[in-house]
Amino acid sequence: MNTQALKRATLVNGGFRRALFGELNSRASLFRSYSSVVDPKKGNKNEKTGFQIPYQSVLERETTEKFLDFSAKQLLLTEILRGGWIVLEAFFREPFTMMYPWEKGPLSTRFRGEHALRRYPSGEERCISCKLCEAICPAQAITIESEPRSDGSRKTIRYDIDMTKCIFCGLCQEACPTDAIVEGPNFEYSTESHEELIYNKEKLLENGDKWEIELSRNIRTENRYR
Amino acid sequence: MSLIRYLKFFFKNNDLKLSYNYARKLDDMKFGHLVGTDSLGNKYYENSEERYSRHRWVLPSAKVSDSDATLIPPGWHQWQHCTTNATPANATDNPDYIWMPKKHVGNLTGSPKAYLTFNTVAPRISKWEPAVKQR
Repeated sequence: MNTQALKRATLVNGGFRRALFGELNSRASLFRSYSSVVDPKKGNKNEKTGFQIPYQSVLERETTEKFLDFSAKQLLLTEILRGGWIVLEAFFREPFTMMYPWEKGPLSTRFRGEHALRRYPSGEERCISCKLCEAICPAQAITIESEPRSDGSRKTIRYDIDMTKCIFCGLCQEACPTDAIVEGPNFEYSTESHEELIYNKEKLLENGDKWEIELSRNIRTENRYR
Repeated sequence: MSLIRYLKFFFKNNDLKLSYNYARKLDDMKFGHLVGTDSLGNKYYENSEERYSRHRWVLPSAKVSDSDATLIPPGWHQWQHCTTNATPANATDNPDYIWMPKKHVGNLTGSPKAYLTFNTVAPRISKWEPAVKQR
């Protein structure tokens, strides 16, 4: 659509439209003044050959519409009927509703849910208390205290995660050199009180023991991409 | 439409007890083949002709009043979430360590057995107990 035709069309429809939609028309004139800016050196950019989008915006289409087309749309309510037809189609379609507790949606192996501390097959906890997760945690939800054990190995005596601070970014499990802290596939750990969401080491290890089947499988599946 | 679907699955099931359980516990009618049963007695079914994410479901063994989404043990949970096709029944790589819990418990919040946070470290400072000297 070139500028000349645009101007002509708006002149024809202008009076009628101004009478009907004063506000819309003022917005349309704004649009016209914007689109009719022509660089004198490069010539009229709107004059193109080949494939062209017939109009740049809905506003332009409505401004340049033929008088009879516009009136027919308004009088015969074609847009309402088109909308109604879509509603009717959706009514007879099979619903997408999933009956949640019994049917559950697909979940990735990379899903970041409830945290867990894992163990080695021998039962020894993997965490070596390097505190990388504590350092990287952007929400500062992790608190670690460590002490040498009687056999000389350094282990945590406190590993607290405030689940209400945690933003589930997964940086702790990426930082962990021993795959000790992981974010498991469980998201059904809602509680009645805030206290229950302040996890300590015992709770995290218990989670790890409980979900080990899925945690190990997820890590094995994602092994090639880590 | 749901009534047609309901009746179709009801007649396909051809099992009054199962259909009654579906209607009572799932509030819906389903038809599919039994994939397995877990340690809690929940039964897992599959019908790959259903719409994706409606094609795997569980018929819980618990009463309607006690049934809970967290009463699905790990492993079956993953199968139901379509993360894997392996079930604890057919997978060969299930870890079985001595420290893994034998019995699955769901989310205990709201019950007397609910987890409550506690300090895992002995306090390093003690309260000041003023000892008054006898004069």
